[in-house]
Parts: sequence; C-alpha cells; structure tokens
Amino acid sequence: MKRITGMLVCLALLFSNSVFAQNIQITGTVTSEEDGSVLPGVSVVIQGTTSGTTTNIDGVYSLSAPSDAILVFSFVGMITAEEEVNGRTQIDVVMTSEMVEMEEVVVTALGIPRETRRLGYAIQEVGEEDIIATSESNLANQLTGKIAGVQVTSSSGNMTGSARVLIRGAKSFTGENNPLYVIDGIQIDNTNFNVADGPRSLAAREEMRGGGGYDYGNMAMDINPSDIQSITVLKGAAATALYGSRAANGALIITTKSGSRGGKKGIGVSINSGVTFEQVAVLPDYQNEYGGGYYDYFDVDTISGTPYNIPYYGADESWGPRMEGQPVAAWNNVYDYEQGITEGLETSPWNPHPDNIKDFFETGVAYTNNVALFGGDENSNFRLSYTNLNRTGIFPNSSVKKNTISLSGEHKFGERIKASARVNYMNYYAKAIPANGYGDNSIMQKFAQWGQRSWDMDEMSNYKNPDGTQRSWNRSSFSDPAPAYSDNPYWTQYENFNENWRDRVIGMAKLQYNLTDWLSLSGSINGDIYTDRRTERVSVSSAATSYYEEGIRTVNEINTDAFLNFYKDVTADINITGFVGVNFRDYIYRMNTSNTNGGLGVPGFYSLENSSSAISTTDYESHKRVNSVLGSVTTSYKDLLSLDLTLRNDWSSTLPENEGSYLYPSAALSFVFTELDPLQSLTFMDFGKIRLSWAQVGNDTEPYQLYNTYVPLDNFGNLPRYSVPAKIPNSNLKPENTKAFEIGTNLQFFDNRFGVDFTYYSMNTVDHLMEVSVSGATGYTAYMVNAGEMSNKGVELMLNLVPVRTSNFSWDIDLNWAKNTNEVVSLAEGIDVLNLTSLWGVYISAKPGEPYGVLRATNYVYDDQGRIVINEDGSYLTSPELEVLGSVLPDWTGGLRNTFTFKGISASALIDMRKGGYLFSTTHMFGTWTGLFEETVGNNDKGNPLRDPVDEGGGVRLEGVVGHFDDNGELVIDSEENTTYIDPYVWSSDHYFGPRAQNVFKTDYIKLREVSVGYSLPKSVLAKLPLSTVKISFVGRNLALWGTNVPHIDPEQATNSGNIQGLEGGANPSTRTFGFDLLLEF
Amino acid sequence: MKSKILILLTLIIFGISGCTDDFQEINTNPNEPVEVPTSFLLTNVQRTIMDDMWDEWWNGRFGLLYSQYWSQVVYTDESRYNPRPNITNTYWSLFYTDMTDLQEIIRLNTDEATAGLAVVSGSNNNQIAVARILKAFVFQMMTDVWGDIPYTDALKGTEELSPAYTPQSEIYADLLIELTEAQDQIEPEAAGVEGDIIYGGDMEKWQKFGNSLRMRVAMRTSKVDASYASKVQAAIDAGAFESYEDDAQFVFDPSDPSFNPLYESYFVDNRTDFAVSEPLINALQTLNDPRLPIYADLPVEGTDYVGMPYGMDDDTATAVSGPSGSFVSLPNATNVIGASSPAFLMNYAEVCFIKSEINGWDQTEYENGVRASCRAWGVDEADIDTYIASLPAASEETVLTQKWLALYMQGLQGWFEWRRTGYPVLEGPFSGAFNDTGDRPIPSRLYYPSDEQLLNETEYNAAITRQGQDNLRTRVWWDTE
Repeated sequence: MKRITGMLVCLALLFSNSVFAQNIQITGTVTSEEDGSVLPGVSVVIQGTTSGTTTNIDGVYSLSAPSDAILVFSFVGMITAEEEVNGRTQIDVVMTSEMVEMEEVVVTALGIPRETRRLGYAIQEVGEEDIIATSESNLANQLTGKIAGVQVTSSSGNMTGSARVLIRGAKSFTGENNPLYVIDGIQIDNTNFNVADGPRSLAAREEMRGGGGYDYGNMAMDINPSDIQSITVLKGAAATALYGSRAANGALIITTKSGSRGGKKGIGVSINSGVTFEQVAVLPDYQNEYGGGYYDYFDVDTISGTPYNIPYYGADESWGPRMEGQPVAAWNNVYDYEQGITEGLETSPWNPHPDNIKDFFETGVAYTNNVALFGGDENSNFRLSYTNLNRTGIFPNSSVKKNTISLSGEHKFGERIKASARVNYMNYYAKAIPANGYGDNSIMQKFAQWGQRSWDMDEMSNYKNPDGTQRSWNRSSFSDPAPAYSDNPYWTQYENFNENWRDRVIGMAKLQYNLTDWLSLSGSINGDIYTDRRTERVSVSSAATSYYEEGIRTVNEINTDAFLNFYKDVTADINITGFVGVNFRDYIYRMNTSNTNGGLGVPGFYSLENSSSAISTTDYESHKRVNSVLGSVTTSYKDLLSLDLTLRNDWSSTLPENEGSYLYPSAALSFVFTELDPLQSLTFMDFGKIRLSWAQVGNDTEPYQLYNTYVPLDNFGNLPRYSVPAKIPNSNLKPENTKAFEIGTNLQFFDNRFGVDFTYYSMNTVDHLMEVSVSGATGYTAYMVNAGEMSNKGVELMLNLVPVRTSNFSWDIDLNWAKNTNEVVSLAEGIDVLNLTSLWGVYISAKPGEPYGVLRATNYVYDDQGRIVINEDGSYLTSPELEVLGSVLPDWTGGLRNTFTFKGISASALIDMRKGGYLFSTTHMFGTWTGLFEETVGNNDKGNPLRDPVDEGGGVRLEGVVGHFDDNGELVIDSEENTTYIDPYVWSSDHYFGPRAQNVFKTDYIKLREVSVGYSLPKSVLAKLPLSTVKISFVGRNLALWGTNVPHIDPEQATNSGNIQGLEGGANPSTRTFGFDLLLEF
Repeated sequence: MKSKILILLTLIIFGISGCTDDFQEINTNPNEPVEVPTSFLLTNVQRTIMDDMWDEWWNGRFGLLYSQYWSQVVYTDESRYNPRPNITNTYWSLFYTDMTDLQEIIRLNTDEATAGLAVVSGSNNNQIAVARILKAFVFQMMTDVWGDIPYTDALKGTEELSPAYTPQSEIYADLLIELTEAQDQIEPEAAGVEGDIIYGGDMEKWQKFGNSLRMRVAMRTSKVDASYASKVQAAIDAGAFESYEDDAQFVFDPSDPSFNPLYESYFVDNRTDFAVSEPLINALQTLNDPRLPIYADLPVEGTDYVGMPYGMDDDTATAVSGPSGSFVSLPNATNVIGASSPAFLMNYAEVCFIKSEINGWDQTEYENGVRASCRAWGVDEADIDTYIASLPAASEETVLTQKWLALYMQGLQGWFEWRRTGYPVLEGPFSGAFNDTGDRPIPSRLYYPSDEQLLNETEYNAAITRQGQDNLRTRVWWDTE
C-alpha cells in the first residue's frame, strides 16, 4: 500500500475486502511524533467499515473491533496511520505531520497521481487551504505570488476581466502563452476572444493594446473556485510532454472535490457562503486648482439681460479658470434651463471637488453561496454541487450573475469495470462591464486622460433629461446640448452598457476495464461546449452614433482517448508502470457578429433590425483536429531512482500534409540520494533528491495559415468588396520545436523544518510559427514565418522554514523567487526585428540578442556627458530615431508567505514582489497634457504658479543643457544651462508630442497581496455537534502597495491578458477586496 | 489470446490516429474565398484609396492644413507643423497595402492561368491599364509627400522584405513610362472594367485620366527637367480631359459605412476640429469669387464669412473660433463634407492651368480653368461669366492662385504646387511653427514613418543619407531652390 501509483489506487481499494473475525476491545493513546504531545480528536476507524471512534482530550481511544481488523487513524495535518490489530488490545500510535513533503502525492499530466519524491521535474501545488473560494472570481488570480516562476497579469478593476498566467516566461513570439487548463482530466478552452479575434476584429486588436474596448475575460474564468480541491502547476516541458503542444506553456491541473467521505456512510452536506467587498485601490493624483476649459478665463454671455460666466463645456481638458467659487452657468444649470426644469438660468460655484472620481466608484459586493451533497460507499460515490454568485462591480450598474451545477460520480461494476462521469453546467450573465483603453465608452479615458477637474459627481449622476436626452458635462456649447467628445460616465454605464451571456457544459465519461491484475484498458470522452452571446450598445443622444452589436460564439472541443495501462513489479525492487494510448482532439469555433450602421431608427430599441443602413456581418468558423499516439513508461528502483520516458506523435490538420506529423520524446530522472545506505543515518537531513529532465515538444499553428484567400468587406452600395489580406500566408510551414532541459534539487532538513527546492531550466524554441510585422512597402503588414529561435533560461527557488512548531502553534515561512532570462536568438531571413505592436508611436519589439518585449520609442537626447538636451525654445529635444527604452519583462519576481497556526486558527500574509521591467503609460501622457494631474499645477522654480503666463513669471523650466542638431544631424550644445521657461500647455502637450521616454516607468513593486485568517472549530467540539467541519475565514487582497515608481496608476494595471504587455492605457483602476467566508460540513 | 486481441486492438487504434484523410478539408478556410472576380478587388481598392486620401487625418490634419485651405480650431498642433508620430506610420502602410489589390488585379490579368477567369471583369488589358494608372496616382502622391520611397522594390511581398528606396528622379521617370504604356494599353472597344466607381467602366475617360495625370507628373518636374514642357505636350497630344465632365472623382455612397469620411468626422463623430482658413476666405472674398458659398458655410453665430487664422496656438484658437467653431466658417456641409460629397483624383481645371503655364500663362486656358472649376462646383453660368470678366489678366501669380483655388479639397496637391511654385503667397502659422521648416514658412516634406526605422532600417538609413535629414525642411528632388 505504500507504493501508490496510477490506477492502482483504485484497484487496491476495489480488492480490499474485509473478512470478519471475532471482535475484541482495543484501547490506546495517540501522540504526535514532533513533540510527543497527545492528540485529541483523532478519528479511529475500522478499515472497510464506517464504525469507529475519536480520541478524547487525553488522546485516548477505545473501541471494539475484529481481531484481524486494520485500524485507520486520521487527523487533519497528519499522515493517516494504519495498524493491523493482530489480536492486540493495546495499540498506541505515533502520528507524523503531513508537512513531510516527500510523501505527497500530486496529480500530474493526464491525471496520473504520482509521489512527488519520484518526479524528475519541478511541480508545485496550491491546495484547498490556499484557495479561498469566494475571494476572486478569476481563478488565475489565486496563483499570484504563490508559485515560483508564475507571473499572473490581470485586467484590473473589471470583475469579469481576463487574467494571464505566464509560466517561466513567454515561449511564443506571437501565439498563445497561457498554460493549458485541465479540470479532472478535461482539457478546457481558455480562449480570450479579444486575443483570438484580434487578427480579424479591429476592435479586439485595439482593446489588446490599450486602444479601447471591453475585456470579457478568458474562458477559464468559468471554473468555479468552490469546487476546487487543488491546483497543480506543471511548469516545464518534461512535466507536460504528455499533453503535447497544447501544454507548451505549462499546465494547470485542477482537481475538484470528490464525493468520498473518508469511509463515512450516508450523505454529507457542505455549505459555503461568502461575501466580498471590492473598492478602488489606486487612482491618479489629481490637481484641484483649475477647472475645465482651454484658457484661464470665462466667456461672458448675456442671457435674458443678465451676464453669466460661461465655462468651456466642450473642452475635455482642465486648463480652464482657477476654481475659486465663482458663480458660473455650469453645464447642469444650462440643461435645467433648457429643459425648463428651472425657470431662469441658475449658477453653480466654480469649486474643486477633490473626491469626484473616487465618489463615482461604488463598493462592489459579491455573494457566493455553495451547497454540496456528497457521499458513497465502497462501490460508488457522488457529489452534487450548486454555486450561485451574485456580484456587483465598482462601476455603477455593473453586475455578474453566475450559477454552476456540477455532478460527479463513479461506480464499480464488480471487480473489473469502473465507470465515472462528471458534468458541469454553468450559466453566466454579466452586465455593464466597464470599457477599457482609448475608446468612446471608456470611462477611465475620461477620468485619467481627457476630462474636467471641476466635475461635481452629484450633478453628474443626474445623467438624463426629462425628455430622455443626455446631460453631458461635455455639451458642445451653450446653445448646443450634444456632447462634444464625451458622454456623461453615468450615461455610459446606464445607457450604453454591454451584456454577456454564456451557457457552458463541461463533461466527461470514462470507462475502465481491468483485464488482468497488471493491465487495464480505459477510454474516455471529454467535452467542453459553450455558447457565448455578447451585445454592445450606444444609445441615441450619445456622443457617438447610436449603435447595436450582437456577437454569438460557439466553441466545441471534444477530446476522445483510449489507454492501455500496465503495472508490473519486475522484481521486489524494480517496478515498471506506464501506458500507451491515443487521443483525438477536435476543436470547432464559430463566430457570428453583426452591427448596425448609420445609427438606430427607433431610440431605445436594441435590435439589429433597427439599423438605419444595412448591417455589417462577420461570419467566421475555424476547425482544427489533432490526432495523437502517446505512451509513457516509468521504471523505479526501490525508493532511490525513478525514470520516466514518454513519446508522443501528433498529426495536426493545420500544417501542410507532408509536415503534419511530428514525434517528440521526454525523459525525467529522480534520484533520492538520501535513500543511499551511507546517507540514511544522517540526522540533520531528512530528504534529498536530484531531478534531471529533458524534453522536446512539437507545436502546430492556427487553422488556415497556408494559402491565400480574399477578405470579404462591407459592400460599397451594391458592389461587393474583397481585398488581398494584409498578412502573407506560408504554404511551407513545419512544426515548431521546443527543447527543454531542467535540473533541480529538493532538500529537507531538521525534521522537515527547513526545505529548499531549487530548479534551473533552459528552454529553446526553434522554427517559431509566428506572424512578423514587415515594412508596409512590401504591400503587406505581416508575414507568417516558421523560423527564428527564442530561449528562456531561469532559476526557481523555494524555501520553507518552520521557525516554531509545537502541538498548539506553528509558524511557517514560504518563500518563492524566480528569475527568467528571455532572449530572441534569431529571426527569420530578411526579418531584422520582431515587432509585436505599436501604440502612440511606442513599439514592443525585439531584435536578436534582446529579450522579447523591448520598448522602443523616441527618447530624450543626451549629450556626451549624459545631460538631457533642451531645445532653444525650452522644450525637450527629441531623439530623431527610435531608441530602446527598456524591457517590459521583470528581472525577477518573488513571493513571501508567513503562516501562523494556533490551535484552530490559521493566519497568513502573502507579499509579492516584482523587480525590473518597464511600461509605457498612456494615462500619464494624456493626463498630463490635459492638465488633470497634480504636476500641472503648483509653483515653478521662481516661486510663481507655473500656469501663469511665461511673461508674468509662470511657465516651466526644464533642467538640461541647450542644444540643437545641425544640418548634418550632429548635436551642437549651445549653452550649459537651460534658462528658458515654456508655456505650461506646450510643456504638458509635449508629453505627447515630445520624447515618449517621458511616459516610460519602471514597474517595481511590493504588494501585500493576501491576508487571510481562518478559524476551524476543533474536532473535540465538533464531535458533540452534528457537524464535521466549521470554518470561518477572512480574506483581504491587494491591501497595500509599496515601492512603485509609476505615477497615477497601479504598476500592474493592464487592460488585458494577451501577449501585448507593457503598454498601459486607460485601464480600469486596480481594486482591493475584503471578504468573509463560512464553511459548514455536516 | 487476450493479449493478441489487445495487440490487434492497439494496432487498429494507432492506424486510426494516423488517418488524416480529411485534414485538408478541415484546414480549408470556410471564411474567405480562394477566388473572387477582379471587379470586387477594383471596387475595394478605389474605395480604400479615396477613403484614406480624404479622411480627417490625411486630408484634414495634413493636406488641407499644409496647403492652408483649412485651419484647426482646436488641438492645433498639426497646423503648427507638429505631426502626430503615429499617423505617418498608418498612412504609409495603408497606401502600400491598398496598392496590393491593384498589384493583384495586374497579376490575375497577366498570369495565363488566371487571365481567362479575370476577363469577366473587363478585358485583361483594360483592367491592367486602370490598375497601373491608379498605382501611378498613389505613388506620385506618396513620393511628393516623402521624397524617395520604396518603388521599384515595393509591393513584392516576401520577394523583397526590405525594399530599397528608389530616388525620386527615377520614380518620376518611371511614372511617365507607366502612364504612357497604360494609356496605350487601353482598348476602348473592348469590355470596360467592372466594379469601377470612378468612371463606371468608361475606358475613354480612363485614357484621358491617364494622360492628364501624365501632365501633372511632367509639370511637377518643371524646375529639374528642361524638357518638361514637351513631355506635358506629349500627354496633351495623346488626349487629356476636355471638359469638367471628364473629371476623375470618386462619389461616396451616402449610407454608412460608405459615406465620405469627412462627413463621418463632422456629423457622426461630431468633431468640428477644422474651419476654412483665413487665407482661402480672404482670397475668395477679394476676388468676389462665386465659389465662396460653395466652399464654406456662414459661421453658426455670424452673418458673414469668417476665415480661421492659420496656425494659432490652442488657447487662442479655441477663444477665436468659439465653442464648436461657431464663430468661424466651417466647410460647406453639402458640397464639401456631405455624406456623398466627392473625392477628387484630378480635375479638368488643373489640365487647363497646366496648359496655360506651359504656354506662357495663356489667358484662354486660364479662363477655361476657372470656368471648368466653377462649373464642376455647380456655379451658374451667368455668375461664371461675370466672375471671369472681373478677373485680373493671366500671369504667373493669377494663374497659380486660381489653380490653388481650383484644387480646393485636394489638399496635398495644393501643398505640392505651393512647394513647386511658391504660389499663392502663404505665411507661416500665426503662433509660430513647432518644427523647423528651414527657409520656408511651410514644410517641404513629411517625416518618414517610424515603422521604417524599425522594420526597414538599412534601407531607411540609406535613403536619408542620400536625400538628406529626415525632417520637415529637406527638399525633395523636384523641389530645387
């Protein structure tokens, strides 16, 4: 029973039949190995039955059992012990803490449970205790800071936003870099349609790079955290080789809770309820001195004989008059007057409202309720769970409702056949999720890039006139109520909202047939099928033309597989286990999106049939199939050595016929050197292992990359239009190939109170299948190539320290740290540089020798002494050419967790850190230009308000030497010190027109990511209650931020989870959450 | 026995997985066809070229500003020669990728394997000729904006991933050859091109447009090619425009999304960022020109036409123009920025002014030019007669000023002609220029796109080494001092 491998767990359970003998009375004491203290509340059960008892306060138990029975002793945090009675009446047991990591069994690729000690590659698990079901809606965020080498980037401030998980750096230049998500063996779809539709949809592409749009999330966010037992992170290629190319970026193996009740009969019930509150964490530092407008005085208009101060309503900048309480005909006064709400034109004081942006945001509340029923006997078990999530966001009117039902069960038909099935149905609805980036409906674009500081949010919240038209702060002029550029943000949220519906079924059915005691055959079919419908709208009376769009997407992913599994003890010391099998993967994606043109005919009626002009439609389908044959053999010698060998061949439909088949192997060796005889006597060292692995993984591409086709476009009148696509296809594609090497060690010392896990890895991908940007002068913008080499090398370090461990109290310190070095080694012939994207003239690109993700843009000009050069007019001189401004990739990342356990109370705090990496902030560029931010006010170095005219002592003087480029392009220094003051508006708008380097910042940070406190009622108390578990938890996330150099935004602020990182623009603010969670089990 | 069955079973399963018979079908793109009639490409390319040429950024914030027909009322950086860095990237790529459709039309009509199919959209020669003329039109515009540009090596896809920049002198020489050959290639008797929004497949008009464009090309080399006049004359002799009804223009479809892009920016996006410029309003008012009410509207708050001073800083511009530009004259909402207002490729009036110029400022062609322009814009015949009678006699200044007036809305052409001739007399921005324009008040070219610095670095560097620094004051080949 010690050697737990593969299917044998099930087999062993199946064959263990109790033979009844005469009952005898047994007593004993249970103590802890660590300190010899007695253990109360330990469950003592007669194996194969449900009868048993628990130890009392003195750790003593007493029960009647057959003389040949086996007693099973179990206790939370301890390794379950078994004792054969053998007629004994006194059985004392010493239990060992479960923290002995080397005995752990984890789920690896294809759901195969393996002992951690035998693995030849790094693996890390997040257990149930680390997953606080109700605290984060996107599962990926639960991994933040907890796993070495895993970087999670999430779209901020948007409860439905996507999260990107990057394991050991980016491997693909332009393709998918997220890991594979597998739930209970079901490979699920994790498409982020904004990324997937990117090449086809301009809107989606814009959203990705901060141009504006909605982030509807990545589809793995549908996973219900309440059902999760554990998440295993498979990092390297050797760990994921069996999944093939699909797990080229690693895999998250998610195991959900099962119906097993640890042998107890009857029905188990668990109830888990949580409430979480969400608040805005980081907002820009605003100025509160000057209001909206382009110039510092009011126009004065005479209305009905009275002169009024008229602010510049149509301006979306804050270069207006100083806010000193002057009476003005504010935009709201004008609407009131126009609509006859007030008899005459009233005025409002021109006053600052320092908290106006903060006041807009609400406290989001999420209620999660989960009920699960579970139970079973030796032949069957089942679990039925229902979860309801009801959530409101920080943006007014935004909400999410989600219902998940999951049912899982298995049954053994006699000794040979086992059937299991699982089905998970989810129904999802989201409303009014906020837009991102630089777009009409993006509220943050108004709050942090283009807006007026004189807003009064109370007035703003009255967004609609009695006649149904909009009240916009940005009315075009006194006489023209139509918005000039921007809608009222409340109007955006209440009238121009989007909706998203999704119905999803994830399920599997599996049959296993035991042919002999060493051979079994299994077959399964897994499916992930969903329909997603999205609508977006712009109502009549908005700044933009009224509009309605509807998109329906369906995904059908079916995996069918069959395996022949074997298990054989060759000798007493040598064991061989493994399988051969086949897998068929079929993936079909269909998308239909349509939108109205020319506005809506009937206001308030949102239907494609309400389009004024002919609608535009996109009709898209993509189909891919991969057939695979795969096999794996694990050979082990005693507890000392273990060798895994795998081989897989894929046939992909996406590659040319003669290149569609590719074979790749992997090998992994585990050597537990502490099992060597001379080392077994070591007292300070409990465990020591060396891991070594090598793997190769092939990869295919997206469908339809091989041949030229013509792109259909909207008709011109009745004339059809087609175009040659901007991307050059390539009919000579071959599979891309990654080779990975990994070496690591795991050492445990001093009764497992100090542990080290260290990994070095090196990965090289050649023949990249990628889309590269080419000079437009070729007639195209991109070219599909199959070349180039990228490497990732890195180290991962995990330390575990237990400074205090007593029977009542323990203190655990877990540290993880990772450094990945990425390098673009070579590119395709004729391609000198890889350009991922550009926004506002800032490029994310790489040349050979550079890491992939270098910011290139115009820089300051420096003289040979490194001083910044200023133009003779007082503004920054801009570098004539693009320069490298930094890599967007971090130098290293790390996490530190302290956990304190005192009796039933457990408290932990997680800090995570990022060092290095740069981002370009569009928010900084525009928010400074438009005079929203605090640096656009205050005094200059003469002590005068910098907004005063230059000839009156105002203006901005930049530090630097004065110089220019001569006719030959040579830098000439004219003066050692700049003494020229420039107009503040010229200075501020130069954040856009001048060097882009002004908006590039280093993204170091330290965050208090998670604090949680949990209390579980002790077993001794529970024994008197009809409850088996009572746990109350508090969790807070993103509670503090330190050490950031990025002004106005959270350094993690991002608009999406795609490959394009390092460009910030109009992302929603990051949030902090607080929540309470109650778990009851009966 | 059991194990034999197993082995057999295994072999069968493995056999199935290697079975990839339907993979080709699975990987056949159901979303996009492999073949389309070439007329569908022609419709598309005409629409995209003119949409790109005419929109708010390329015409509004560039062509119409640099020629001072329009002036910005808000966000006035471009009118003070501070172009936004990302815009040049966008249009450079757009014009080249637009031309890829033209290149494809030529290929499909040339390649024997496809020519037989392509012929349903018009005779092969006619289709090729139309594509060549449109290519010449776009290439000339591009070289006049930037100077040396990829030309000989351009549009070759993977054959030339780093296209070298061709010196402008060579581009000009080849444009003349292309246009001559294209007009020779036209078969007026054969089937005209289908899907043609510009001339509806009228091949004689295409022939005239090809020759008229050849006149424009030859005329622009007046300072650097001693034989320019004979080259212009050769084009006239081959048959150029004879009336404003021959004008090469693209009429937008008034329905969304095919309407005039300027209509979109003014009336869909509600952006009144440009007003008609003071130099143009003043010139029209001084001449008592009947085109004034056609070119411009009365201010929303005003009873007489008010031109927007050119190139004011933001504070001043917003104060002067009033909310939503209500104190100044905006472009005429019907004729200029209406949903179906046309975009011009070239007009008969320009042909007349070129004829006047090569004939020593000929009075008749000068008058013909003014008449053609007025007729094209729909001025009453009686008003035209009155107007022409009141005009000062033909001279370098009067002819070229009238040419500028007639080129209204062809912003870039107005700027190119100013660079060639110095007429009309224009001044620099009211509040001063942001970027150095050298010895001139107005730039002599536009920056190359920064994309080229990254994606085509070697050739970009070679081009600036040959042509001069990549700034606004470097003059192109035909623009000698």
